[in-house]
Amino acid sequence: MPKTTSSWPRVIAHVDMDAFFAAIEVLRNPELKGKPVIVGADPRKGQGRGVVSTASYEARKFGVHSAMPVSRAYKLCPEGIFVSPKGGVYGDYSRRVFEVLESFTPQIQKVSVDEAFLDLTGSIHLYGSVEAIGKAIKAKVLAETQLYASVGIAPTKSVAKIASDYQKPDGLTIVLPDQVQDFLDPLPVSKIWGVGNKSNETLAHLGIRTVRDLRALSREFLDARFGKMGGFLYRMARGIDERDVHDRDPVKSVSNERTFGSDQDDPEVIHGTLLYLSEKVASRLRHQQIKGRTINLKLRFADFSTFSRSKTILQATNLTEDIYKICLGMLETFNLSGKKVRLIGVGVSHLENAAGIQTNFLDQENEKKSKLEAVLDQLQDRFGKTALTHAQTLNARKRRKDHTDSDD
Amino acid sequence: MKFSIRRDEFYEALQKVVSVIPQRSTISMTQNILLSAHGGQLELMTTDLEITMVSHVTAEIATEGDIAIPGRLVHDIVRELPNVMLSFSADASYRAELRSDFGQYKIGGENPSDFPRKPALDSVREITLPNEVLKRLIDKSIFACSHDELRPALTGVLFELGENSLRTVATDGHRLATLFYRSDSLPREDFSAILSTRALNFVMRNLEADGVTVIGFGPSHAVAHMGPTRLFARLIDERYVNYNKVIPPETNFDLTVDTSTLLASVKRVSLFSNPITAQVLLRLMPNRMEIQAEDIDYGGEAREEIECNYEGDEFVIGFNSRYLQDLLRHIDAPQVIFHLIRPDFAVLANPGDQPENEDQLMLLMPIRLENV
Repeated sequence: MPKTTSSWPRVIAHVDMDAFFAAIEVLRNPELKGKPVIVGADPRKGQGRGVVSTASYEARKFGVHSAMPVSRAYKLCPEGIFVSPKGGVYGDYSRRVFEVLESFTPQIQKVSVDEAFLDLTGSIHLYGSVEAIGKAIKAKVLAETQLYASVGIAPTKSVAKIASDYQKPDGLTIVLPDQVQDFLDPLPVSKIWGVGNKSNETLAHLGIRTVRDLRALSREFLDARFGKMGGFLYRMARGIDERDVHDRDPVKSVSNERTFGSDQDDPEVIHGTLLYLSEKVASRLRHQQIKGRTINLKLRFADFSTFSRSKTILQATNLTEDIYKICLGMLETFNLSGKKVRLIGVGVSHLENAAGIQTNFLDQENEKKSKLEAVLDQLQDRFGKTALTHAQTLNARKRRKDHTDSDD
Repeated sequence: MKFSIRRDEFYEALQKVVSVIPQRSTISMTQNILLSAHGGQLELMTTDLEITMVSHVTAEIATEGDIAIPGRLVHDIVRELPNVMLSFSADASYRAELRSDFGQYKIGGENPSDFPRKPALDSVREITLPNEVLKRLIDKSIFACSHDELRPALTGVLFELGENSLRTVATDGHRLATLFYRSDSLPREDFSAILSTRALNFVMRNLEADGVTVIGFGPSHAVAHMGPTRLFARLIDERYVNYNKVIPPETNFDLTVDTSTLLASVKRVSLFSNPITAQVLLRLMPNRMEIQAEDIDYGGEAREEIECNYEGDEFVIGFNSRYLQDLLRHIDAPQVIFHLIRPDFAVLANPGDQPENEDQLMLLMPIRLENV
């Protein structure tokens, strides 16, 4: 079996912490060990409206998984131990995990608090083999944090991502360059990183269940059927993925959402919330000194049907008033009579730099680049809240426990 | 080795050299002062390998000799003594003793031949400058130096000798500051060298108000003779940017304004600017200008209007207020003249009047504004 580095064009690892939040809760309270721990919103005896952040493996046996409504988790696993998330604590553990990962390579792409891609191509010679570095990563993470990680190593990001999930928890899956196709072929298409529910449904409709089935489809057919997504599916089915690890995906949009504690049909509440969300989004844009040209509105009704509208304007904005007015205009295109709203979301995309850039005569040719980087830098620098506020948002501003807010 | 010296004289010489001793270094020898007693003179030398400082003081030398002794310790004990006679002696194994009326202090020294040598300066080009001119040449440029270690040349000040002239230049790409000085006493040859800001700060600290300083430029080091003190500095061996290229030869509009009025106004208004961008806007109108800043995030806003002498087009130009304040602080004249082209072009500034044989010029890059 070829295990030398030379047969690896790139060595890419995907490290994914096992039931991260739940595992931390168990560490902090050993009595929880072996029990179904569910980190998420308060289930309120099955009436809670938030979602599950993480479920321990014991809870997963009951069918509980992350992003599931807590009410459903409660029904599936009423004896589960429901814990509310503790961001600060998880953040500390996350930093420790990343400190360990950074000792293996500087080329790291943080996907989330508990997940990262590592380009190990340059580090592999220090460990002798791909297996050795994979084992070393797991061992060091465990030694430093007492937490388990699953690691997938492959020549590409997308295959590494699938591999880390392959033998979870505490897994180490290595997909050798000449085994990529054999590894992918039997997998259900839903395992492909980036294939969402919609594509999955369409593929199922076509009778495509495994990657092997997908690979039988021609590029032309995929293009015709899936548009832009076609090329992606074609490449993914063949394990082709040129994306680099250090390629930070530039933030493309800023959005805020609110799920109401109880479904709403009061226009005053809806408008107030819309203004509140516009204000939040605009304030975040301004903090990051960026503006956007496309305003997005998302509505989810009581029956979970979800709609979105977007409008692109000529002059980029980061002003609450502009965003709110445009959202209000889009809201009016919905027929709201007799309908109750469950969720409202406001977002801005097509971002560009807003604030002035200090010009520099030494690298005027790099200006375009620095313009982009300035946007990125500014995006990372998030802080603070506006001191002034619109009166109309005062009600929406009260952080009622039963509302669930999220930003992206 | 044996000498005696009055405390005040010894302390003055120690003070001149002690600050060159690095806080920490991998070469422990650099923690020492090299004391050399020869021919009625005591020489004190310290180095951090980039900068070497040498001072001299007269002493009663009984036995000539050299020793390297812990610099800060000697400085600190002498500092704590009143002005009494001190006698210093060292034996062949470099055990030193300092005696005073108060008692004696034993100091473990080291072999002086292990101390780094003084930089050799052959084929030196020398220039002599009045201290107040040298001070101005440094002061009017050094503030614009870059801190970017990736561009070592820009972390220093360029000394450019031309036909009976000397120009100092510093820039970080955002601003550029230069002072040109003409004197028949300067040589008629072209030559340039880059001196580190650290070395120049030592020069500034040791420069006396009156008198002259001789600076010698060798192939790898420069030396400044400042009275009884000499400072050797390693030159930054890099190519300097072609700064002439960025100075626009022609500008469209001139604006003259009272230096201290504008500085005071910018200081006040910039308190309301976004702390990250420090952006202030100048709105130029016929014979008046508005200085404004706002911090969208925290809702702060400030606006002032002052008179100026301007007949050009109306426009708004943005600056980092810290850079603008730096520039204005380095104008000694009551009036400053700005030379403008467009809102997104380099702006030149110089004092309304200056000595006939000097030409001070500063360049400031604006902040590009998008929707003003």
